[in-house]
Amino acid sequence: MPSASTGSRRPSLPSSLVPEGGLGFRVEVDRELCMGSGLCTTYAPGTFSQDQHAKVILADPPGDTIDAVRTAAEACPMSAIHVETD
Amino acid sequence: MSRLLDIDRVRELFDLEGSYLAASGGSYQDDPNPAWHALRSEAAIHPGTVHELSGLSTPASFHGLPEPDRQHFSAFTFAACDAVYRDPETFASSPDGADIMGGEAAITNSMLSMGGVQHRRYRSLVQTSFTPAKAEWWIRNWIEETVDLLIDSFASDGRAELNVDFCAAIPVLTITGSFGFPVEQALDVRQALHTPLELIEMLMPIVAARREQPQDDLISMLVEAEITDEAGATQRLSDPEIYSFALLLLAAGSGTTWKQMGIILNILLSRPELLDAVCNDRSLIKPVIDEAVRWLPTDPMFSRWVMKDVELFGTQIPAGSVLHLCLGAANRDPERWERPDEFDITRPPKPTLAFGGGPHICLGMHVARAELTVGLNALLDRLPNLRLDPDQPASRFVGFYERGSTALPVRFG
Repeated sequence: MPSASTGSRRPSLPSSLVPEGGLGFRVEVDRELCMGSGLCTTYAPGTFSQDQHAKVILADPPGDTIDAVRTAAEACPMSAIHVETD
Repeated sequence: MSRLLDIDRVRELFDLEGSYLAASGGSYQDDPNPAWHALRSEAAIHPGTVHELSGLSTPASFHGLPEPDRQHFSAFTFAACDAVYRDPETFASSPDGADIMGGEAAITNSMLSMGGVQHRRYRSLVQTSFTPAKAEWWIRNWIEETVDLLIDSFASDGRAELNVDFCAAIPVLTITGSFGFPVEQALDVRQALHTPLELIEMLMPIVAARREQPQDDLISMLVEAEITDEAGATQRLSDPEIYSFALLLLAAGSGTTWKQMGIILNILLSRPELLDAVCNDRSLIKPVIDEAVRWLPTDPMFSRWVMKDVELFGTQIPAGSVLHLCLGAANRDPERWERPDEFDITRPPKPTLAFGGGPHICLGMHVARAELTVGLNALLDRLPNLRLDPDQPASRFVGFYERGSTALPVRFG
């Protein structure tokens, strides 16, 4: 059974992903801030998923268009997702 | 004909225009959007409450209301409402937090009124049961069977009333089922939301039974959940903590999805071409739900308490005020959506404020979507040639702070 704090103590996953050739954008997530709403997974399911504590997991590389990832970032109620163009 | 629920009692408890829901503006019959457009074009923030600014003179009771001793302000743009949700330290969900161990049992004496780290600790306990990935668990355990049994009860009649006999019953049976209540008790639970001590008495034997033998349901998860305090010590939830979660989740889970589903069916049934298109291409159900919660969210207003003097979009708001967020107006902000009054399922995906925002964003939003999706699919699968009953009065949208449909009489076959 998850406790309130275990999720945030887990090591962070790679958060800066630029495959060779380049996607043209980078995604960063703040897993400390993440509250597990799951909204990102509905807008960009190829890029975001959730672990057993509902904390965000970032796919490497992101599996969605920049538009979809930006929409997911905007939807995040905690503003825990950041998208930067190269 | 076998009925899952006492339908006359359902009609009494789930009548937006009846006495049970009158306090939240149930007698309102108009479309508030013209007034909201006018207010939004004048200023992002206005002094006053949403209902008074919209021309209602009768007092209303809802989140943040009436609060007669405080100053009131209301926000009408998407940008203002969104900014407020993203600053929970300045704009709190309650003036004085929650006191679960010492305070009296109430729906608001719960996670709903907590802030900061305390809210995070409590919310994370239940969040894992409400993720998109968990929707299948809700569907398999409660939603699918409920929907099938409800349709069984009228499928051979050639006609039905869907707003109460279908839409109202799905969420109340789903959430009460997840708390271990048998179907026969579902309406008692709904009624007891107004008398929390009675509801807690109904919960006691279930909590005791789950402590003895946990099952695959939400109340077992709460009984077994462990919370970590500030000092890092871990312990099981106390009874008052479990009851606090139960009161909040039973209240939040048994009404909103009913009204939103009635709104969606009203939209579809009054647009036969769209209904036909959705029937033939079920992938359209998702954009229909997305657009419906934007176009007419059942709860178009929630409030925040202003914790310090602040200037917001040009308006000075003193500490101690209540700030009402008109989400219904934000969702039709022409700065964000072209032709905002049009119901258009071809819009590109764009987040709305239908489920609120910030750390208190609706916990049950993915369960609500699952109920809506399974319910709509099952109606379209099992009731061919579904249409409004031409011999019955047309269905209307009613209510102010709780919006929904009047009766939805249909024919099929």
